[in-house]
Amino acid sequence: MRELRLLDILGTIREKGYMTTQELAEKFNVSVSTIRRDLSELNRRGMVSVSKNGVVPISETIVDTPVGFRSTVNVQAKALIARNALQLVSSGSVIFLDSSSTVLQMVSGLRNMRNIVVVTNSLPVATRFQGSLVPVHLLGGEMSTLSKGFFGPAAEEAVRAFNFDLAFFSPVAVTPTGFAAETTEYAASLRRAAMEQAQSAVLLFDHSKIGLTRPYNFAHLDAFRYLITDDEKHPLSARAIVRRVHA
Amino acid sequence: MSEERLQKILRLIESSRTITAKELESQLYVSSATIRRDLTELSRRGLIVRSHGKAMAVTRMAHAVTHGEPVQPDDPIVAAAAALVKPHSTIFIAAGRFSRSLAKAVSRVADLTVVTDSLAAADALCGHAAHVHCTGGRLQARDDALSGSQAAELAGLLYTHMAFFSGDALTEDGDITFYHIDRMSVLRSAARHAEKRVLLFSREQMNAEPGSSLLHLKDMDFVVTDIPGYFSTGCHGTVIGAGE
Repeated sequence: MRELRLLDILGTIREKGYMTTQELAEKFNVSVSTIRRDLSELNRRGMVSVSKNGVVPISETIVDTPVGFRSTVNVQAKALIARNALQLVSSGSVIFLDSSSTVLQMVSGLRNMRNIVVVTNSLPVATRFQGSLVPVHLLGGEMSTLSKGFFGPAAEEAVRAFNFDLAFFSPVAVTPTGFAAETTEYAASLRRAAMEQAQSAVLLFDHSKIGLTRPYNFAHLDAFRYLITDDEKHPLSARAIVRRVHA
Repeated sequence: MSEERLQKILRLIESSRTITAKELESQLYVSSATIRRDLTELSRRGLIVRSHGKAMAVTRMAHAVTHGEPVQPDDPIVAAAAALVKPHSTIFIAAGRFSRSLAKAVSRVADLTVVTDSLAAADALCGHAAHVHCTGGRLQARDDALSGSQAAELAGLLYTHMAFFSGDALTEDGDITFYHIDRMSVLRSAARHAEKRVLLFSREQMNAEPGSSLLHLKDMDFVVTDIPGYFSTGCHGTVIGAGE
């Protein structure tokens, strides 16, 4: 009986991306303390991770995290990193912005820039450009409802129609082996396709991403022209230009 | 070309209902050739519509149409249109006055696949509909619609059971007109690849200024409207009266 519920709970969390204990208790019609016990069991087995605000993202190595959730982590560092990245954008640039919460932070600074063209696979990025005069192209295809991004063959084909001066990415993980890595194959593949079209690729990541692992590498850190991070201790790359921001 | 002057012209156009090229010349102290070039650029960017020597801001019209009074998912026209949607089907929702609310209204339909050129519709469906495909493409300035050759290609990639359109205005000859001529290939491609085509038309759109004729009433299989009497002639499809 309990084993079945555990499986159901796991299935629900995987489907939704995250849920609160309250929501789970209501859904399975059991008490909050029962759910807590179930979650700690799932946690012990390494299937979910329980955070303090009651939100329960499952082990992110297998499921994409929603942008809404990701953008609440390390907000200040991400804003600083995004602001630093803006300094690289000059008039006349064609730029690619990926569907990450860090890159999304660049939009407010780009909205009023003159003479730039923006290409993105992110619905929130496109939406935040609405009302500005900057020409924006959204790559189409099927939407990943969690990250609100567009991936897959259609998006990859669309991105190959462009030439970028600069492409901005932020990965889910920077692995101990020095790769920017993603949770899903299609997320890594689209970023790789965008990177191939770019003169210079820029990787943005806060220190919390360093040392994490995800199954799909999209590029080695050496393949980027710039790395922008708030990390202070890791050497990161011998080839890329490392820009360190300080809070 | 000066970006500042373009912005200034746009503000002048937006603050008056329509303005002539002559009036702009005298206000900005520049030559008529310059003004003409600037207007061409603004219209290329989809910010204004020009007709008979006058320029009109698209925002003003598009605003009135797509954002004027927010259309709720329980709007009678939206509800009647949503009732046409069957579970396990694929539909196209074209950007326009009703796209966001129609997307919300169909979001609970089981196993639905939605193809759209509307950012607002894609956003409203996020996490609800089984599958959401977006045409992608160039985002029209200050609007919600995506367009361009890539968008047209994707709009035609999926065969849909039903495509929902709402023009910015309708002419007496039955031309369904839109303020962005760039949308032509997307809308026509979506119409061509749909089994049935549905036009949503409300009383408020009756007196709107016509734009470019991109679709025609005779191609519509259904018209969902709160003024069915208006379609007593010239319409081959089924007229569905809403909210009477």
